[in-house]
Amino acid sequence: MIAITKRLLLLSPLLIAAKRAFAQSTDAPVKPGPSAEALALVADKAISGYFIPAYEQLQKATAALVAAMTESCKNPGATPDPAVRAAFEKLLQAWARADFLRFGPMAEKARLERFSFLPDPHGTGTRQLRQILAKPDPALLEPGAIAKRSAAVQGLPAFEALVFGTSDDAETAAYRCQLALRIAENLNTIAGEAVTEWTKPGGWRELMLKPGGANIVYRDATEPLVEVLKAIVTGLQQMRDQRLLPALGKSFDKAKPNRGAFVRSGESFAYLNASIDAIDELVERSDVFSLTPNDAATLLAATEATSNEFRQALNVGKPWNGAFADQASYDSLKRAFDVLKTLEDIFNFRFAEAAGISPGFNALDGD
Amino acid sequence: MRSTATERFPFGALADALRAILPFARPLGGAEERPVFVSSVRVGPRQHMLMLIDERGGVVGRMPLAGRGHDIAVDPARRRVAVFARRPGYFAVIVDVASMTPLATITPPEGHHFFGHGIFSTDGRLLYATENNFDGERSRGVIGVYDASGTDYQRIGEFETHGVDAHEILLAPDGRTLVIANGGIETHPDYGRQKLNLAEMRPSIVRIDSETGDLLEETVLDPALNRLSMRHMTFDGAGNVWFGCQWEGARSERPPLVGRIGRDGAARLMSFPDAIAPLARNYIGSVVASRDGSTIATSSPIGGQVFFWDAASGDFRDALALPDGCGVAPTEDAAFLATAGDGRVMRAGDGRLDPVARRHEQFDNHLRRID
Repeated sequence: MIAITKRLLLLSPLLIAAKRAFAQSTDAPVKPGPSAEALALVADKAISGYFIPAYEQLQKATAALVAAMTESCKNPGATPDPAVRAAFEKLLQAWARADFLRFGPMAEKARLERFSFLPDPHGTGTRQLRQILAKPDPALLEPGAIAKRSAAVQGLPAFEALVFGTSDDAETAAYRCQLALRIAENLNTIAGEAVTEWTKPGGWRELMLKPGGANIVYRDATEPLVEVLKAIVTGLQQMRDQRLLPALGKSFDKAKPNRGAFVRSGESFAYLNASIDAIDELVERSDVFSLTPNDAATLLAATEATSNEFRQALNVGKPWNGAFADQASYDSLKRAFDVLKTLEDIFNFRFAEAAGISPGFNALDGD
Repeated sequence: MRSTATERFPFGALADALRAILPFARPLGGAEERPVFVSSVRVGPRQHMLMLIDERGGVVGRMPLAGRGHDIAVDPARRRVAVFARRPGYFAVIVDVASMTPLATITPPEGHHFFGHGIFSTDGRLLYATENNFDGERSRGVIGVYDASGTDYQRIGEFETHGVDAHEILLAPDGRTLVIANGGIETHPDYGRQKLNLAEMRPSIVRIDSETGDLLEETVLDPALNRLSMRHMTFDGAGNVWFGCQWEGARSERPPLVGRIGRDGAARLMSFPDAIAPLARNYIGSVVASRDGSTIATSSPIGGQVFFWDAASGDFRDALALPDGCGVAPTEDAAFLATAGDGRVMRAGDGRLDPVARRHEQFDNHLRRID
């Protein structure tokens, strides 16, 4: 047991702290949370207004990529077909709307990793793809074969490397095109599974809409809402920790732009912009701030202002690699990184406090 | 513990504070001393502190931290604690408990970060911290050894943990053996807290000789459970190591989450009753033994539950609901004090959870008792 003498105590700042602490009451006021109806309404809006449309769009965009690739592979060239590029750009836009939803069917059966194996700090995808291309195996072009390979070679980054990579080896051009087509088909399959698993009877939509009882995933009305909140925060953290931080490095001199996402295709900025749009859209469509009517306007304004600040900081008027070679642009991107934290505070702290919802200080991000 | 301290210190509310730490007058004379509890807390957006509370949730002291703190190592002999920054952590502050003032700040060497946990040697002369060495091709876990005998807290050596994601570290009752949980999840600060290797995880619990750094024993689970990250531990009264896990596999699966390692180094996984298993949400945050060593508390902030186990038989005892509850520390006998991310302080014992206080501060994952 700790024994502290009276003399020591009287001399110590502890006494001051103790005085201060007891000047206020011990018990913090407990804010009543929103009603179950209000929570269910937000969950419903998030599901039908955002989550499911996001996967439907992903399914469509992957189908369009398959179509563009099928056409392009009839006459594979050294430079990517503009139609393929356009389809790929659209797909990234769609993926930015869904990549941060790390729950539900996409989180099962390693679908997320298979769809896009990022981050890949050890360059696993590049290494494995090199091995594949060193000894092109026709069996890998059989429908469905790529889905059985490592997650690192069956998704978006592998597709990007095959189509937008610098290889001009004419000998493997046809093989690379076919492999990329198979990957596009694989993406389409995964997106299709996500839609089915969300919408089928007893699927994830029902699970989220009917919390409690025998539902082991969502046990009460708050948990689906916390899932929405968690998705928003995860989205912001992914942008920060997966895409900006690895590229920014510790300082301007130590920046590593190639560690950004989708650098090869030149889509890094577009992807980040689509990601922030996705967050705004989810906030708007789910009407999550309706749970705190008194603060809704303030919080929405703060969210919009902060995400605009992010967009402005991101808009350095240079391509991705060039932006990291210029001090002013680098500083601006660093600012974008910091702004994401401010945005996170809005959801993690301000909104949660105002609405009387505990997103889980500990539960949100385990340790 | 009823006290008559107010009779001795009849100056209103302040007496509450004094009661928490001063020797108590017993009705029949003599003095009684009380424990205090310490936790990292959040007080606002990105504002963090170290906080001392008494058994009734009253604040005894607070000290601001530069970032979010995590676990706290206690050196009862010198009335110091070391609070570690949450992973990836770049500071640990040594704090004098009586004055709640910092004595020193330790930073890990270049290319390392703290994992949020550490432990003092029995004599308080050394401080062991789990660290991530992320300089090489692959991250690896190490134990940084810091000289805590003086005032400069030099790092005087390091041991391998023979795994990645070294998390909680304990000192065995023999006072010499270190026990470390290698969570197996690879992270690199360049990618924040992103998990980088889920498919290739290989968690383990190792025993290391604190004097030589030699690996004495390694416990791993069945390869089918390679996504079961063993992270937090405690010793029970019989000297067994209890551990708690988080599952990085599919959410629809229900792997065991709590286990016990006996003297033979073999792990026995405990099972939840079927109706209880889903409540844990495949995540255990703190593992703590009661004072008498008879009861093990394992908390799940994600599941919002604290689970209790019989240490001797390994039988599941009960589950008590505490949303976002994670911090657990022993009070008297087989009872515990539990804290939650929403500021709640509860007393857990006899199969019940009773409210003690609700504070403005949000408690981080770990609560420690200072004797």
